Amino acid sequence: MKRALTLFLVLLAASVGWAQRTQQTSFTVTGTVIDSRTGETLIGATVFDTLSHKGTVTNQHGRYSLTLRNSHAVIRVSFVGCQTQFFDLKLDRDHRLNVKLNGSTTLAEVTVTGQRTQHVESSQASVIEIPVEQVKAIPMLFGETDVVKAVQLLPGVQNGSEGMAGMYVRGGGPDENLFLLDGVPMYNVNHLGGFFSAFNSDAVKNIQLYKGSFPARFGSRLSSVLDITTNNGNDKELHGGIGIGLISAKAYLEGPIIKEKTTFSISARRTYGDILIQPILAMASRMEGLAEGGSSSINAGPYFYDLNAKVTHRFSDRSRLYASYYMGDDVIYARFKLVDGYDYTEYARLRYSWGNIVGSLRWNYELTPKLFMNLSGAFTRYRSNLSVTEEYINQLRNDNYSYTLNFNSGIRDFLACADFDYTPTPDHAVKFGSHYIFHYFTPETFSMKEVENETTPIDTTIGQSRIAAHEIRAYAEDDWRINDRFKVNFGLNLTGFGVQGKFYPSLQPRLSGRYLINDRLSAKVGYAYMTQYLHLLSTSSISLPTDLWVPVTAHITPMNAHQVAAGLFYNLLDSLNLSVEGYYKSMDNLLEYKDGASFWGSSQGWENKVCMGRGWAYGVEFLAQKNLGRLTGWLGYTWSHTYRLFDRPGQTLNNGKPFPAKYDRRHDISLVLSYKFTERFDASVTWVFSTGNAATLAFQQFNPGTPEQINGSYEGYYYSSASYVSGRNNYRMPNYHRMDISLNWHKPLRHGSRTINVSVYNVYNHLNPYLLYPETSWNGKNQLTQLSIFPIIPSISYLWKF
Amino acid sequence: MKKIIILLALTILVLTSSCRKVVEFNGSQTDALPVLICQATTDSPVALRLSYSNFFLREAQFPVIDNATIRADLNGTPNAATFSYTENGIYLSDLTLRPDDTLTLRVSVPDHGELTAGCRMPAPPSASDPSILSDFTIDTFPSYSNNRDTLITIRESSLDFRFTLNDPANVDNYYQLKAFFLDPTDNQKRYLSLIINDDVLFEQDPTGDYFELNMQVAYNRGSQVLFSGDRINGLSHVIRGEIEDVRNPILHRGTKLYLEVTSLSRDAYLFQVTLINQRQNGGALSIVNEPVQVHSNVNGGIGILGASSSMLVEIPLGQ
Repeated sequence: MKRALTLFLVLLAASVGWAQRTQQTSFTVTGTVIDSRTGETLIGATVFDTLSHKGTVTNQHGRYSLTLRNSHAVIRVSFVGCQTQFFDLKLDRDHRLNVKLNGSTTLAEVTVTGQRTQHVESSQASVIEIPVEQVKAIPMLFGETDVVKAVQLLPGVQNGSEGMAGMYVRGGGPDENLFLLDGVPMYNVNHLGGFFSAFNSDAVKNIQLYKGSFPARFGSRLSSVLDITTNNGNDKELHGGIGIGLISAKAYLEGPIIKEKTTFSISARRTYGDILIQPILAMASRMEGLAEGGSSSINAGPYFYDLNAKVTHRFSDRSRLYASYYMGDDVIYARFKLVDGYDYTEYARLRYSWGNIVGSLRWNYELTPKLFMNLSGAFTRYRSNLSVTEEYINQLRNDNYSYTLNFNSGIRDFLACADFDYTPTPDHAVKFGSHYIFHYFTPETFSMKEVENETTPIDTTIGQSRIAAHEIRAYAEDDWRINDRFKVNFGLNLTGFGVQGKFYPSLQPRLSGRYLINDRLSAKVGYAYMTQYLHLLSTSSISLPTDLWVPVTAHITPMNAHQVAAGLFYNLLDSLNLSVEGYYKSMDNLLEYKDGASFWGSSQGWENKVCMGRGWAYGVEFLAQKNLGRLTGWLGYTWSHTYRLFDRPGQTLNNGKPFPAKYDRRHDISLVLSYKFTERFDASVTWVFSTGNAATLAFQQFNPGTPEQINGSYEGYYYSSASYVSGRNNYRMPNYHRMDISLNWHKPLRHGSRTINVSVYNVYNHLNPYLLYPETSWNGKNQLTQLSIFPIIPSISYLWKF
Repeated sequence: MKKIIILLALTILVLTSSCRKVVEFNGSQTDALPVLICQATTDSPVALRLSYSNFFLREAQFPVIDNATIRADLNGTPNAATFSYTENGIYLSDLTLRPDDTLTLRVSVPDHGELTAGCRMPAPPSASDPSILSDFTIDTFPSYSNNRDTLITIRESSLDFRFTLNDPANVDNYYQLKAFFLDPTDNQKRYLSLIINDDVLFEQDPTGDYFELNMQVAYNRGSQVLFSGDRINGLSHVIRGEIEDVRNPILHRGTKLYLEVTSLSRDAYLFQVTLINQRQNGGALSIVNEPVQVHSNVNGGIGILGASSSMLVEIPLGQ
C-alpha cells in the first residue's frame, strides 16, 4: 500500500509540476456560466478556445477555469438548449468572464446530454447525464415524474420488483449506490416502499450517474453514484407552479430575495390517498359498529410528503454560500376503536413511518483563478419506526389491559468536507480534498410494554441500541489530457473507518482512459477498486422499509469490489450517440441474511443473523441515444450475469454452492421516446422488457419421518412433511414487460401557463410478476399463483406555472 | 354519494383481485425424487425408510418404495449388512453401528438410478454430575384465561438443576438434548418440550461460572434442543436448567426425570436444525423471512443418512 501511495504521489506531482513549468507565460480566464432566464448555474457547459483548441467544462457549481498560453483567444461557450456565445479576448492578463447564456428556440428539444464532445471525448466511460427536462417527459406511475425511475431505464441499471425504486447496478445490491443530494448522502430514497423515489423532480437541476470508472472523489459504495444537484432559484423574478394529480399534489416557488444576489427555491408534495379513502372507511366503521351492537371507528391510510428548500447567496464573483434542506416522511397508519353494547372497548393502533432529513451549508470560494474551494458541513438522518398498540377496557369490571410493541432503526451522519478544484492548464483538471463523517447507528431496537390493571408494567427492550463510527477520507485525482488522442483520469482515494475499537483502512486506486480513434469514435477503459463500510440488510423476497442499515463492526468486515470496464463510443451524424461497453465486477464480504432469518429480532442481534460471502457480475451494455430533432430518446440493452457464493465455515448458504442473485436478469431492454409535435403538444412512450427475476421455490414435498417415527415407536412430535428447496433462487419468474404513454397539452394563460397531462401506465395491461407462491384453490387443486401490483392505470394531472 | 362510494370500492376490489392469476410452472424439476431417511443409533440395528417426494403442484402423497436394492459398506468393507423390507417403506438390517464406524449406503431404486450417502457414528457424549440447585416448589397464583374475561388459578412448579457436559477439544461435535420422565401410571416415557430462545441456546452467567439453558415443560409434546459444540469446544461447561411446569404440573417429588444427551453426526444435526427452522419459518418460503433449505446428504435424491449415540442423565427429584 505504501508503494502504491508513493508512486501515485510522485506521478501526480510530476504531471502537475510539468504542467506548471510549461505555462509560465500563460493567463487564466475564469468565471461562471449561468442561464440568463433563471440565473441557475449551468453544470457541464463547454468553454472552448477556438484558436488553441483547448477547452474545459464548468464544474458542479457552474464555474470554470481555462489557462491559455496564446496572446489572443476566441472563447466559445455552449450548453445544450442555449445559444452559443463567442468572446474575443486579448490575453495580456487574467480575465474574469461570467457568461449568461440565452435559451435557444431552435434547440428547445429535450435531450440526453450525449453531445459529441462529452460522449466521445470524455476520459470516463460508464457515466451518463440526464437533463431534468428528460426526466419530466418520461411517463411514470400515477403520472408522477421520478428521477430514480428514469435512471432505472438506462442500460446496466435495473429496478427491483414491480414498481420499486431500488437500483441494482451491474450486479450490485440496492445498498451499493451512493445517492448524493447536493453532495450529501441520503440513505433510503424510497417513498411508499419504493413506488416513488424521494427526489422531487421540480427541485432537481442536474442528474449524473456513475456506473463504473468512479473518480477518486467518490467512495463508500461499490456499484454506483447518483449525483443530484438541486435548483438554486431564479435570481430575477418569482416563479412557481402548482400541480394536482391522481394521488398527489405539489407546489414549488423560487425567486430572488435580493435580486441577482440571494435566491430561494422551495418545493413540496404530498399524497392524499389516505384522505380519499376516508368515506369508504367511514362506511366500514358504521357496518362494524352495527354488527357489534355499539359503535366503531376505523381510520387508516398511507401517505408521504417531502419538502426541498434552498437559499443561495452570492457574496461576490468569487464567493457563494448555499444552504439546503430536505425533509421527507412516509407514514402508514391504522386506528381502530370498537365500543360494543356491553361497556367493552377495544383500541388498536398501528403506525409505520420512515423518512429522511438532510441539511447542508456550503461555501464556494475562488482562492486563485486556478484554485477553487468548496467547504461544507452537513447532516443526514434516516430512521424507521413501527409501533403497534392494543388496548382492552372493560368499564363494568374496571378491568384494562394494553400492550405496545416498538421497532426502531436509524442512522445519523454528521459531515465536514473540504474539496478543491485546481486547473493549472487546460490539460489538467486536478481535484483533491478531505472528508470526515461521524456515523451514529441504531440498527435495531425492539421494545415491548405490557400493562394489566394496576399491576407493575412489563417493560422490555432488546436488540443492539447504538454504534458510533468515524470515517475519514482523502483523495486526489487528475483528469489529464496527454495529447490529442490520449486522455486519462487517475486518482487515489484513501479512506479509514473506525468502529468498536477497530480501524479499517482502504487505499482505492482509480484509473480510466480514453483513446480517440477519430473525432467521432473513441475507446475507453476503466478500473476502480471500491470499499464500502455500510450494509443494507434486506430480505431476498421483497424490499421493505424495514431493511436495516448497519455498519461494519469488529466482526463484520467492509465490502469491497474491483471493477473493470471497456467500451467503444461513437457519434453518428452529430445526433446519434452509440456505445457498447463491457464490464466485469467482483465483490467480497457481501452480507445476506441466513436461512430463515428476518429483521424481526429475537434476543440475538443482527450480526448473528447474517453470513458473509462474495459475488461477481459481468455483462455487456448497448446504448443508442438521439439528442437532436423533434424525436429524442434512447434505446438500451443489457446482457448480464450476477452470482453469489457463501461458502465460509459457519456462514454457508445454498450448501456452499454458487447461486444467481435475485436480480440476475439475463436480458434487459428499455426504449424511451419523446416527440414534440408542436409547442403545445408533446408525447412520450416508454417500453421495457426484462427476463424474469430469480425466485426460490420448493419444487418437492417429502416425508422426513424416520422409521421409528413412522412405525410408532417414537415418543414425541415429528413433522410429517417438509419442503425441499433445491437451491436458492432456483426458479425464474415470468418475463416482465410493459408500455407507458404520456401526453402533454400546454397552453399559455394570462398569468403563466398550464399543462394537462394524461398518462397511462401499463397500457396493454400486462400483469407483471411481483410475487409467486403456491396455494390450494377452492376446488382443492394446488396451483402456482402470481401476484401483480399494477394493472393498467390511467391518470390525469394539471399543472399551473407562473 | 353512497352509490359512488360502493362503485369505487367495487372497482378497487376488482382491480386488486384481477392482479392475481394462476401461472404455468416453467421449470424442469417436476419428477418425484427418491427420499432416504435413516438415523442410525448405537442401541439398535440400522433401519431406513424409502419413499418418493411429491411435486408441489400435485396432490400431496408420498408413495413408499418397496422394491429397492440396498448395499451397505462398513468401514470400507462392502456388503456388510442385509436389508429386508418390512412395511411403510421401512427396511431393517442386521447391522448395529459402534462409535467411529463409517457407513456408506448404496440404494438402487428402479427407474431412478442409485442413491448414495455416508456417515460416521460419533462417540457418545460425556455428561456427569447432575444435581439439584433448589428445592422443588409449587406455587399458585391467579391469572386471566386466554380470552381475558375469566379468572383462573395457575399452578407452577419449578426446579433448578445442573449437570456437566465435557466436550472434546479439536473435534466438531453436535449435540441434542431431550428430557423425559417415566409416567408412574404406566412407566412409559413422556417426552417434554424444551423451549429455548431461537439460536441463543446458552446465556452465559455474568460471573462466567456456567451457561444457562432454560427449559419450559409443556405437557404431552416432545421436542429437543440442538446445538453445536463450537460454543463450548474442548471445555467442561455446566448446563443449568430451570423447569417451569405451568398450569398443569406433572412433575413432583419421586418422579424420575431424565435428560437424554446425544452426540449427532454433522449431517444429522444440520438436517434437524434446518427442518425445525423451516417449520418455524412457516414453511420453506416466507415473504419476510429468508427461504430455508432442508439439509440433505443423499446424492441422487433427498434425505439424510445420519448417526447418533446417546447417554442418559438422571435428575434426582428426591422423595
